[in-house]
Amino acid sequence: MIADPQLRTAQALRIDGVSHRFGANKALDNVTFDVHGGELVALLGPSGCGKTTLLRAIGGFIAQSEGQISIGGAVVDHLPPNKRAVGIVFQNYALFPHMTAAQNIAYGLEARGTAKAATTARVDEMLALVKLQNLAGRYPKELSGGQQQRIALARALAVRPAVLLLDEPFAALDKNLRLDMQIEIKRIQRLARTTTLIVTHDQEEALSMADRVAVFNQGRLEQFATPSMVYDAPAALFVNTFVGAANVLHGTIRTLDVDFVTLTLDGAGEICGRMLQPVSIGAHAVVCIRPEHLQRTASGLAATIELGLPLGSTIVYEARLANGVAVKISEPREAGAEPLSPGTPIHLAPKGPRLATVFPHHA
Amino acid sequence: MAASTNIATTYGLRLAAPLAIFYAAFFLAPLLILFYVSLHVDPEMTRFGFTQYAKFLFDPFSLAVLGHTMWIGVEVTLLCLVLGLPLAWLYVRAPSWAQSTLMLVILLPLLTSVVVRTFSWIVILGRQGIVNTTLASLGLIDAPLKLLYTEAGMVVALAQVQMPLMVLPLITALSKLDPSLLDASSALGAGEWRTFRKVILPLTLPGIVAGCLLTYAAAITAFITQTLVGGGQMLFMPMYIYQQATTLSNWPFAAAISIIFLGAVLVALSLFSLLGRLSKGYAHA
Repeated sequence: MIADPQLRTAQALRIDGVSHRFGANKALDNVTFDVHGGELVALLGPSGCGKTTLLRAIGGFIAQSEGQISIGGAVVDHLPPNKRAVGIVFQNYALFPHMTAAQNIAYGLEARGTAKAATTARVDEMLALVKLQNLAGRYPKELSGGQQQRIALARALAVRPAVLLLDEPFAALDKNLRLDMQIEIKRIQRLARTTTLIVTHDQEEALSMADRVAVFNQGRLEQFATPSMVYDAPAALFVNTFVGAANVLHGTIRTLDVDFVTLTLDGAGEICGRMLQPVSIGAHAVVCIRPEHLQRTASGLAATIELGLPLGSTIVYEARLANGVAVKISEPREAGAEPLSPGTPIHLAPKGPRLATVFPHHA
Repeated sequence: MAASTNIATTYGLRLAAPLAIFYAAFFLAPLLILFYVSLHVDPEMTRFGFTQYAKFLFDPFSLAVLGHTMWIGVEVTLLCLVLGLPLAWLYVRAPSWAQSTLMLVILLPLLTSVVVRTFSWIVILGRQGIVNTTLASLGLIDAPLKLLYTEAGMVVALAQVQMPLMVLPLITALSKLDPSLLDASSALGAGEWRTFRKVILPLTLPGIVAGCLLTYAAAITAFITQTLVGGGQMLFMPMYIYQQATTLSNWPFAAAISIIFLGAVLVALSLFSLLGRLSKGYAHA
């Protein structure tokens, strides 16, 4: 347990209108968000979406073209990386190969001129935190991937950074170890109460670990919300399709209500959904429905079962609508239940009008 | 397992045979002849004895020549290291279009004849040379400085000639360095000097040692540059051997000096490579 009166952790991080260009390419486009002190935020997006650029800008390795980054209320844009109090765990861990685990952890403390006794005490404390006391004298190449990662984490946390950045921390780990390390990092982050940003392209990782998720696409911040909000109420079509699975159906707006619209699907019937951005009657639009939010009903969109996959606790169907568009339906499976056979005619409707989200369609 | 190892070994030996024969005939055999010649007491080579070795090892003049030669090697190596490290760093950090130009500049000394390079240094360092005329036209000096035929001038010329031997191993070592290690060092609060001392230097030490080995061995045996830029006032081992053999026709003494010089160089190089092995253990890479 860390109990230190000088704790500089739990500092707020503010990203204010940050843009960055690589030549003509806009890697970050006017990104603004606030991270509370001690919060764990995941920067989620496909590769090339700008999340790593933002991480490097916060670390001070690149100077953003526009906007401000502040830590604990102070603007840090003019500071080089070694003056920023930002801890980083690199994707390849970047442990110094010529130093032992303990020497790696001590490196930042020595660079800051910490007294020898205090350094030794802090190194022991960090080794205890990551539960690797018995491996203090090992060199990085003598450690497993998970152990290397924990040493890298201990090294970054040893100097009590105001903000901790983790760049694709689980990409190099095999699947079994990944979950263990996710739990481990979450535990350590809670104990150290360090404001933490995790860059990842893995939505499960982001949803399971983060207090809030920032979804990036092509340099833009598409949504910044809690994992449940991002999943249940996606703010953009990209978020809806990138996070979780979604059926995307094209149609034309037929009626407008305050929040809800009715859509005529091209040759497949009508569907009602929640509208996020203003649309007009007759406009082209797309509606997104997650497979588990579709149900078989007496009336609704007519479809034919193509395939039924019993996946233990759920059954996933692939069905074809009257206009030939394929949709997926996921429903819980009762004990002993067999999937419907291919060719069975069914009718489909969203479980509720809030669960179908309508986005304007830009052809 | 044993059979396959045997096959591999036989192939290896057969492929290595031409080179082995070449070395035996043109390197090992002459060396043995050299040693045989050195064991004669008189220049006419009629009687055997170790007097030639005793003559060198108890002669202050000869020992001074040996010491001076070895010291020149140290000076040239240090100058190459100090100038070569930033150059190698520049090369590794440069964008790829600039790298090809830089590599040409780095390799240029190797692509030019030693004689041509040495004469160009005479032009640069001479009384009416580029350095002196520039300094004079700037009004910094009244009389031309003596640059040619000085130890400093010769060390600079040798350093230029041997520079590729230092820079190429350094480039190899520096490009193997993971750039994220430097970012990690910086993020942990280390300034550039600490990063250089604690991360870059220990991890590139094997390359530095390799560069020093090559530069040192080349610098102390560089007969042409030592003679032409150093001039007649300074005597170094290669010229000493040459004089004894051709001018004085004292072949046994020349052979003995050669063997002693060879021994001294081997000792110096072993010390260097010992340092390299220690650094390798230290670097754990």
